Amino acid sequence: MKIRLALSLAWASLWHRRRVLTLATLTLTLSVTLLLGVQYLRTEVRQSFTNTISGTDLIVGARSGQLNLLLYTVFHIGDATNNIRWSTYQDLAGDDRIDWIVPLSLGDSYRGHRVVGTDTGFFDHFRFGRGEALSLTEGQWFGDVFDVVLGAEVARKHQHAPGDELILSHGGGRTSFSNHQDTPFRVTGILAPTGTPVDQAVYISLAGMEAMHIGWESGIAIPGRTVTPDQARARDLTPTSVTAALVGIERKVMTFQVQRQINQYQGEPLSAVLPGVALSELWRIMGQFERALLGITGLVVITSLLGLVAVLLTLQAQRNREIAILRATGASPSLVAALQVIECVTLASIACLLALALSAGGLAVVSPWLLEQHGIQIGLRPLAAAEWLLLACVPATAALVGLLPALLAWRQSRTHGLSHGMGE
Amino acid sequence: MSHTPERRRSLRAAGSVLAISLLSPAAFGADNPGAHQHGHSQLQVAVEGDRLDLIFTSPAQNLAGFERDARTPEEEARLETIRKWLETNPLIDTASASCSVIDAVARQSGSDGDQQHQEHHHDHDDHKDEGHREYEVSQQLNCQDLTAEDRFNAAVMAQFPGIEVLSVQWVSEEGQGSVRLEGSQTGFSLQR
Repeated sequence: MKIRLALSLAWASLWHRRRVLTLATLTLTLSVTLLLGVQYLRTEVRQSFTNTISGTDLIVGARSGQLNLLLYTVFHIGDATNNIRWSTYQDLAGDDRIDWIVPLSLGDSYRGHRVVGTDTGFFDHFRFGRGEALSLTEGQWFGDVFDVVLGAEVARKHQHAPGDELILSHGGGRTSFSNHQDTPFRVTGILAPTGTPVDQAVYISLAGMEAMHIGWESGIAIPGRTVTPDQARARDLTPTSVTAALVGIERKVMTFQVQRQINQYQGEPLSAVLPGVALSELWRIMGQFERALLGITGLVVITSLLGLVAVLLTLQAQRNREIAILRATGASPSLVAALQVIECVTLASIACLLALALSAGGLAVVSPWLLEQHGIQIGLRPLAAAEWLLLACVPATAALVGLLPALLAWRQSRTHGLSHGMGE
Repeated sequence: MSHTPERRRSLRAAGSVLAISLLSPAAFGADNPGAHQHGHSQLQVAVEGDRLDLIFTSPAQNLAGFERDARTPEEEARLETIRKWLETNPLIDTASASCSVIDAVARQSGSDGDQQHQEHHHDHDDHKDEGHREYEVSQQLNCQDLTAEDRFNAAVMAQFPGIEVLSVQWVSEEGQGSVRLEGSQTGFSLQR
């Protein structure tokens, strides 16, 4: 009964001061939205990040650090220092424990997008997310030497469709002045969006990679030595080296054993890394920043809560009469104090509900744009336990900071008698 | 100075063998010495059904407190106790202690008996047998009714406080991952 009375009194008091309190609640809503947004994005980005590659057991490249190898093969960031010999690749392909092996040959670009020389195995074996396979929205995977398959983002950005001809550039970089003019490629397929770096890349065959570099041995096209597509087809287009290889192991339990043997390969210095391990390593480094970001957002929420308390304290100066009447009608000092805490928690809860609606609405609007423009896949999902907990922390903290005006109200209601209140 | 054709041929053969051994990738393709950092140990866990294959590598310092041959009977006994523990206790276990050791081999690298023997004959320079030593332990565990949600506890960290950091790498049918255990944090799960 007493609780119901306290609640109705608190609600009446809030309603009476709605104009001032609306502003304070709005500030709190915005900061809680920020907190919720950062936590939500943190989880989503992490998920999308760890989903970049799955199903590949080892990435093999020339000897280097595991992060470097992961970054240039999967994320297309940075460059390889060395290549691995084709004979080594074939040697690995002959290993019984290796289920499948896919070559990757990097180094060229198309309008700032990486050109990846590979084979049909990439389309068959590359997995992302929770083991999802690649699929084509249009056309088919390359079959001819001069066929090219585009990532979803490349096709969208440059408005390409199957049948288009395009000229690939020598070397990386957004603007390249040396183009493989003599060997144009024809678009045969466009990959479905994956939300991974696959969307940003251009895929050709190893033979295509070899063919467009005939006559480019010194790094530029030597007049008279370059060939036409037909002449190139007549040549032996077996590569001499590849940049890296993705490997699937027949029995996962053998992964460490195969890794160790590749790392000790006598033919040439190789590094075999576990992509899942390298990803968690990379996330551990990036995790520091996102934790710092969450910490800052937490501070923003606390600042807003303190702002709310400041507003409540200011209002309290005008509440002497109200307190006096409450006391005269038989309200105990503790009820008067409880009113303050209830008001504070109610406002924080309203802010949380508004923040939830604002976040969900904002995400629904922004997520198609994010996928379209930046290839980042962030969908709406029910909140995780940790996120609910974080949200619940806001009213809980509000109750704590609400104790300050409550204490003051309690003291005031004990010292100020009815005569004082009425006398003012 | 003249050489017979046979001798010239054999010289050429020897030369090419030398050239191959110098120039072949094998000469530089081999492995670098492994990193050795006191306080840090590595554990690789491969999961297949209920079976876990573990490879644990650690500087001997973390386990025994010294990286040389045992000099006193106490030290010998300590090394023997460590070896026994490593070969009979699961390095990691579930909360319900459902893992049992099927097979285990603990080996200390760099403790070549012959080499020690020689050194002791040359002179009794104590420093000579002080090099970096590693423990390498391979264990096969059977953990009954293992599920993806199961949490593991690195018992080896509790047993040997010298292990300040344990880097765990794992592979299973579901995926791969790694976790870095430090100080009192010895629990981990095999989930991404």
